[in-house]
Amino acid sequence: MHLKGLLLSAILILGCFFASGQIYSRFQADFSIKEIGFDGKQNLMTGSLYYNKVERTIYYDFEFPEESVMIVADTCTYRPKEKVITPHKMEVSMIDFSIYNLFLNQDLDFYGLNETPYELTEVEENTDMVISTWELPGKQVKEVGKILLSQKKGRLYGLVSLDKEGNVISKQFFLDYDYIENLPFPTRVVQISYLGGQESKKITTYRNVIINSNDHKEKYNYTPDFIPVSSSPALVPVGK
Amino acid sequence: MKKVLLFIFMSLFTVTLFAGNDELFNLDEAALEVQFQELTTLENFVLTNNNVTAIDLSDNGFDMAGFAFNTNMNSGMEFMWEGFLWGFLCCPVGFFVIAIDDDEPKDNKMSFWIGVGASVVLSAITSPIYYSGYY
Repeated sequence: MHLKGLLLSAILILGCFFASGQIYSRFQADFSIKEIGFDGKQNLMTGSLYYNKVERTIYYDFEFPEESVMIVADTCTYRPKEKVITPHKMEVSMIDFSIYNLFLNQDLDFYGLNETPYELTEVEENTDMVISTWELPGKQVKEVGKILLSQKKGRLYGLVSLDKEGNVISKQFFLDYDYIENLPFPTRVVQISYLGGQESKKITTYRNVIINSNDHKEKYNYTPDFIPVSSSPALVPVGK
Repeated sequence: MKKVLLFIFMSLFTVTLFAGNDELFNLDEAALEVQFQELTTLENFVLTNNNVTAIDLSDNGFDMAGFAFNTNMNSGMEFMWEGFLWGFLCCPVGFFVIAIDDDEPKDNKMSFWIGVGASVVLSAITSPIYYSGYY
């Protein structure tokens, strides 16, 4: 009886431990991206995406404007249909700071800024928003602009990037939060870029968000199975 | 008296600062909805009709004027891919990512990231232009 009680207690304690430290490693969603470019031209893309944090790959299954597949990894991007592998020029992983990875790591509130060389230099608070200012330390701050981050009710609301003169380069807004496994995720992201007095706008909408799914294993665990025809292909114009 | 004046000045300055930064986060969603009305209509049609492609629309008389569908799947300049992916993954423009290399001298690391950041800013801003489609 005494042993049973000890065993039950051990099971309960271990269960609490694992429950509190649940690891989220897979993210999938249907998406649509609507964009109005600097020239006023409109663009639409739809599809599904599958992100595997362990494998560090994002599998994009596009449906519109054309069916295609793109797999983003740390060092390169695969396009199996075209048999192309495109290496990434930058020696950094943009996957770490993608919205999907930050969400799975529950690090979306400050968009991971607290994990970068950026330092928090100022905090403002008004009626419904807290705005924090982030800058690179030292003399480099003169070369690089600030980032302003706003939160509403403790959740990320907006990001504003400035150039070194203090002009706005871009804005991002994280809207329509939905709870996925009790974790808040913005199902609508608005991005506005500024250039030469003109604006480009993009709205990304996420639907059917699922985390830690056991389906679509071939997409979560993608391994290239083609011989690339080129690693840096020339532009291939699409005939009308 | 000087301290009182300084306090009043700082209070006014702080109020101004609050107001300025606060305005940066204003978003006119109603105006945005109007601007994206045509795209939203198309989005709803595409989502309702599975497997429809831009070519299908064009073949069925859809007016392509004003649209530049992203056929980046067939383009491949590295310069464009970086900017495209940063925007696609919602990474903020001008966002400099730390290198996980503690052995790298701090100054070298910082200089590297400034250079990286400049290219990110440039490519992320210009990617929508380069990605104009061919329809």
